[in-house]
Amino acid sequence: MQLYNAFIKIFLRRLPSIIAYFVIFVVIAFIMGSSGEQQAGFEATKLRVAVFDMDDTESSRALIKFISDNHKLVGGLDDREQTIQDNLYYGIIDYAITIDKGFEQKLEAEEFDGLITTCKSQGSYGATFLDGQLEQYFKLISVRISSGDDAPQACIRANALSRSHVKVKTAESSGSGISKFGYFTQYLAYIFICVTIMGVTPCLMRLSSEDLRKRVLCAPVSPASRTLQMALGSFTVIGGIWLAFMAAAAAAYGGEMFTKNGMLCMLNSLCYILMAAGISLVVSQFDVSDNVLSMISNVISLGMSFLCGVFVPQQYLGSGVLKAAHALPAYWYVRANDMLCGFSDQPFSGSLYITCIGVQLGFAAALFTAAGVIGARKKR
Amino acid sequence: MASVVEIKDLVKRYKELTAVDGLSLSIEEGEIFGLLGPNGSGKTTTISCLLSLLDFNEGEITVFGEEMTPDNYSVKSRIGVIMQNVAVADELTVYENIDMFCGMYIKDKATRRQYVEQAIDFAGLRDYVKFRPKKLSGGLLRRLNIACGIAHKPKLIILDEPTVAVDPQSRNHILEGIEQLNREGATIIYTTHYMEEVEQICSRIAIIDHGKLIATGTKEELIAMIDHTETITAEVRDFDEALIDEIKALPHVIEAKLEEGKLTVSYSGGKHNLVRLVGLLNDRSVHLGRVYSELPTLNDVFLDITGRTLRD
Amino acid sequence: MFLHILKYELKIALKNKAVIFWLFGFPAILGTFFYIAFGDLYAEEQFEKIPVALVTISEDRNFEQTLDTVSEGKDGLFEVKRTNEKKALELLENGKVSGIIYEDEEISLTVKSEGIKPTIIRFFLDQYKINSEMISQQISENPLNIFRISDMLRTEIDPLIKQERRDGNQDPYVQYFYNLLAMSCLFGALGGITAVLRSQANTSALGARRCVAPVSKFASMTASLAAQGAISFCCNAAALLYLKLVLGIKFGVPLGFMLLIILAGSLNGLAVGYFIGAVCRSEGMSVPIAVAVMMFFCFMSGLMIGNMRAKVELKAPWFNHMNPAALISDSFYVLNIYGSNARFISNILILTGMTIVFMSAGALITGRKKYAAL
Repeated sequence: MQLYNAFIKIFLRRLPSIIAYFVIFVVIAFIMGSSGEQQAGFEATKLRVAVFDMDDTESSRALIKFISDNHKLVGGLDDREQTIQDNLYYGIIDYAITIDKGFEQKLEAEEFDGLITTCKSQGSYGATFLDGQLEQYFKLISVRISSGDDAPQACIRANALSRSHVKVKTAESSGSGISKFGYFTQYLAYIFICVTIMGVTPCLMRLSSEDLRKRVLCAPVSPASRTLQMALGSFTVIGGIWLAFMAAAAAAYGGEMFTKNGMLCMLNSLCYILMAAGISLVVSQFDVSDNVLSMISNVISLGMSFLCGVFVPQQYLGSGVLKAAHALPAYWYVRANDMLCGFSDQPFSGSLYITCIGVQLGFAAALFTAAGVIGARKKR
Repeated sequence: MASVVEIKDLVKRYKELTAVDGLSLSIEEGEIFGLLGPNGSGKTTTISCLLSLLDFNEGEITVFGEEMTPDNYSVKSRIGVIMQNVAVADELTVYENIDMFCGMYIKDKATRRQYVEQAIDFAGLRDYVKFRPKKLSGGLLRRLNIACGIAHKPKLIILDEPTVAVDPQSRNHILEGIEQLNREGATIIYTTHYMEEVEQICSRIAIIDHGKLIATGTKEELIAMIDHTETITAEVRDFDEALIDEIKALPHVIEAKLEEGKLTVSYSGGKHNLVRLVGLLNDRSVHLGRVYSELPTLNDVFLDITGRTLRD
Repeated sequence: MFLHILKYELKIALKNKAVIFWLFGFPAILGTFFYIAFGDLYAEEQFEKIPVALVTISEDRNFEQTLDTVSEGKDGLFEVKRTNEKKALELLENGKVSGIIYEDEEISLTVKSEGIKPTIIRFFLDQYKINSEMISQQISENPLNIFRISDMLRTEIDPLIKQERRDGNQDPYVQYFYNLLAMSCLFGALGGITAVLRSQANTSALGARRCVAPVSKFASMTASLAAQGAISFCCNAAALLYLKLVLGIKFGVPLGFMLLIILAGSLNGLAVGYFIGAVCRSEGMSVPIAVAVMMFFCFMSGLMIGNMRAKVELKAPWFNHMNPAALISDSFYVLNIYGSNARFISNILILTGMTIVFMSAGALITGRKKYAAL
């Protein structure tokens, strides 16, 4: 077990930098997990609206009430033009309304043009939608006022009327209530690859460096045992990394994790990290500097994450991209994760889950084989 | 002769150990000064302090009569250093490496080109000027390392174990080169733990151990410091133990002992010791195998003073 | 002397093809991935007709007329498919329609999941219902109102002053490219680390040799840094040109300004790397730490989640002012939307200030001329 011990020792030498990685990535995963819910609201029914009330009358407050009945008010912004623009651009809000001074007076005077100033993301469904809703609302008010109500009264009546809705039936909803842990595991698709390449590959590279490998080959250690010990070393480290992340998640999301879907998520992530180990094994066959290694790890992890819907949900990716992504393991990981956590329309299906897991394990096996073949080629 | 390097009472402590402990040295112009000591005896630390790379705790160092500081460029420009570790850029060719380091000393381009060419010839690298260091064998790499250190024709050259892990051919090339540089007027400081090298080229030698100077002088002076002048070894059969005392009674013998059929006799002075010993053994009908006489080496000096051999 | 070392540092860096390739290739490859992944995203968010299925159980002529009116023409709201229930459910299942409208005594809607399209359908149906209710309410109050109401409903009102947003590329996905460039600038840190390691006696044999030469520490260090900075800037600029010219990304920022931002960013990365290298003193240690720190900055600036920077702005605006990645990507954004303004200038000034601080801190650490241990 000398090689195994050496592997672990080299890993422990590198531990400080790996801990730096771990801490930063756990923080990232938690931030991603907690911002995940807002992400889900990306296309939710309710728009995020910022309202700036310059009039501050009963009528203007009724308008705000109307908006908050139908949408989500976002407070805490100032009314500078740049704030509105920035938050619209970054999707913090979908719509900004400024109720100009004299709003109520205009209503009383039966003047219905230019009542409020709006700003929205151009041409998006959401914005067009609220435009229409507001126009309709003011139309109701105009009718009420013309039939004798005063402005506040008309507004309140319009609010009341607006509360009536048609019956809506939703075909099915696959939400499973483990969304927080789900976001955490989703981003692991990115993080696991970074951490394993930065953590495991250098150890493997050091042990398979020209001189060391020759020395080991001369020693009475069979190639099989050598490979086995290196593999065992990698698995120990990877198991450790996986456990560390799961422990961090358990501390934060405890209950969610130990539901049926939670456990399936964990299993999914375990298969994925095996696949990540395969990648780091392949990378370790090429002798590169730490500098280049870090770039490789970032290209693989970020590139695959973007193409497979880790950061931008799969349903937003073009169909061509998604087809291509089928050839990448992260796609299957995310697909299983989306299904388990109710991020996609896909209802739970055992066979799909097994397919996803199987594809990842298949990738892992292929990568391990590839590493073996490259290693054997190098020997000659 | 003027003293080129003057080290007085140098003390360098690392956290847990004192690497150099009150060392004083004086190196004269034109010498090949050997700094001999086992691994870990403080040779490299002394050199690093001398070069003002390392901070030291006590003592004074002057080079060319000036205090050595990191900013003393006039002194630095007259020193050439060959480090223990090969210090070349892997990305550059042999020529570019030499030119890069030479350029840090020599500003004038024409002179520099001439110097670099000379250094290439000196190190026997003419056939390899376009090679990258990774393509060079261990010996050639060492030669490049040396060429980088001496291209600017320094007056004082410091070589820190330049022959570690070098094949005999390259080693000879290197040693001859050092003697040539010395003939051309450079003062040389040469550290090594190979006493043969020191014996071969050094005009004066300091032996250090555990950071302390234990002996200094020419090779002859050092050897004169110890009692015995000759050791005769004879492979013997049918040797009677009682003969030992008879041998000890021979003139000039200071020690005689028999181990595993080998008789070793040490002498202090005298002539014809071998003839006398062989005569005695013949008289006593001892069968002789190989018989040979050895003069003392620096290793004997080191052994005599420290009770250890250099390679311990 | 400075020039001599600079020349050789550049030579060394340029010969190291792996590093050059990655400095340029890294942003280029990721940029291509981004391009593939986001190519159509913004377009998809633009408005297009919403497909709905209409299943008639009992006819409501009024409703059908209204539905037809809003579906008319190119800018119409819906694309209506009249069909039976079975077929409609099939269409819904396959995602061919976003909802099924049941035309009955009381109109109802079936959708597959929540989302903006179903919401718009529901909104339209709600409006229809509200209007009908209001009309019947008004009539019940006073039957004569009917004329005024139909008058009122026919009168176009224009209550909204729709403020146009600024010029510039409003595509939110372009900010991923801003952040990509920010990341690639910050990866100049790797050059900073190399510069330290190569010039310090206690970090490399090469450094030791340089320290014994009659060259001032300052000249030797600045030459190394200048070389690494130049390499990193050139690679980033090349990557930028690739994104702009080959992929055709519309940054909305004049090229000169982009180069200025990249220059400030590359130098900032270089300074941070210099500092980290000076503190850690070994490649195995400083590279992973630098990468981890950089990725954290990039994450907080929106490389992975596009609106992260704006979220941070709400909760901890101070962090955006000290996160170099956020400063770089915000500079691009500001120029895109507002053109050069105070915010842009302050971003660049903070970046430069940080560069100076980290450079000075690194210089203080590496400035020592003798070492305690080698």
